Parts: sequence; C-alpha cells; structure tokens
Amino acid sequence: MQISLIQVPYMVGDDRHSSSDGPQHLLQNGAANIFTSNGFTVSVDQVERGTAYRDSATASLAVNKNLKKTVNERLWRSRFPSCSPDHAMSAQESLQDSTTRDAGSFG
Amino acid sequence: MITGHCYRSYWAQIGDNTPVLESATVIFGVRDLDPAEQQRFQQSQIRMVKWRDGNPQGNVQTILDDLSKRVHEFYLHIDLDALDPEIAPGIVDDPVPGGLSLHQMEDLIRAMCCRLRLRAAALTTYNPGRDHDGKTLRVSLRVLEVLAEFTRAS
Repeated sequence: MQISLIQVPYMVGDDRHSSSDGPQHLLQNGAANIFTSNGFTVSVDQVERGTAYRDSATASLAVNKNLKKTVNERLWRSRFPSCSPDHAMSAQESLQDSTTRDAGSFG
Repeated sequence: MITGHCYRSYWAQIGDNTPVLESATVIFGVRDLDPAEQQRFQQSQIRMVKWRDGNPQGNVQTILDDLSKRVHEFYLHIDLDALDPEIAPGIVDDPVPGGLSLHQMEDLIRAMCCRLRLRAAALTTYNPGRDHDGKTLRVSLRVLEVLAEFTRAS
C-alpha cells in the first residue's frame, strides 16, 4: 500500500511562524519510517505557497489551492494521503471531490 | 467552514465548496467554547463530545455506531490541541487543560477505523518552538504509528 505524506509548512499561509517547522521536524524524527516499517511505500511531498507573502488571506488561499491540487493528484494515484499541515481544509475538500457524500468527518 | 457556514467565497476560490453534511461531522475533545460557538453547535446537527477533566462527556461508542449506519468512509483531522497540554504542550494556540490522554486518542482512532474506512488524515497545530522535552513530538509520532497500524489492517 502506498501513502503520501504531504507537508504544509505554513501557519495561515505564513512560513515565518514557528509551527511552520512542524512537518519537517516530524519527518526528521522518523515520521516516514513509521509507515515504511508498517509495509507502506511512502512518498513525501511539500506544498509550496508559490508566491510572496502579502497577507494571511491571500497567502492561505495560495497554499490551499496547491494543497488541493497535491491531494487530488495523490488520490488519483490511489495513495492514502496524510497531511502534516495547519491547512487541512483543502484536503477534506479534495476528498469530497473524489468520493461521495457518504464520507464522514472527525475532528 | 467545512459545513458551509462561513468563508464560502474563500472556499469557492479553492475549488468545489460543497459543504460536508453536519450530520456526518463529529468533533471530540472540545473544552473551550464561547457562548456564540456553543449556540451555533446547539443549533447544528454536528455531533460533539466535550471533554472535561480528561473524561468524555458523552458516549463515544454510541455516536460512532450511529454514524457508521450512514457513512462508510471518513477523513480524520487531528488537532493536537485536543490532547491534554500535559502530554502535548507544543501547539499553536494557548493550551486548555483537561484534554484527551494518548490512550484515549488511540482508542478513538481504533474505534473509528473499526467501523469506517479511513481515506485521509491530517495532523495539525504541532509547534516545535513551544514543545517541552519533545513531549508533543513523541505523542505525534505515536499517533502516526497508530494510524499506520490501523490503515494497514483495514
């Protein structure tokens, strides 16, 4: 089974917040190894904002658009996506695109 | 936002902004709501299990049993601030005491994955800059281990 670990190193679109280091910190301390040792084939991706930071609204929108694209691509390849973001909204939205309304949500 | 009550135009710019059904949404570990939030939840069909002093204030198994009659797959969003700050102090916002223990989090994940197919997960709000002695890191990695074990088994 394949799994995609998607890093989203932004806090509301801002990469200067200390939580932006969270995804990389998890990977450096063995996050990917956890899945490989459980028999998964792991790919690691990082979502980029793709534009300079101006304000939270614009920046988070850019991040979420790219996250949506990444999640959709990974789902298309039948990978189980797992995000390490502070922006999981688009991940959920992408799942709605690809599945049906019988998908629940836990938070 | 995901149930369509706010930021609709923002969400629409990302793509399909079809909301998730309130009746298909469950929230665990809530401890700190202001009066307006409390009122909104009471008026919605979102199921919520509050946590107080480290204990659930509702029947988790019953809620999951009920949900599993209507949905078959799920997205799991784990905000680390659902956990008690004693075990996960390294989060974005100011921590609120009385949250889930790691054992409770593991039991919750197990209970969900036994009933429904996990399609995706997010682990959010980890802030290494506010962590103490790597507590939040260790808890986060353990949560990932549990997800890996149950995804593999399902």
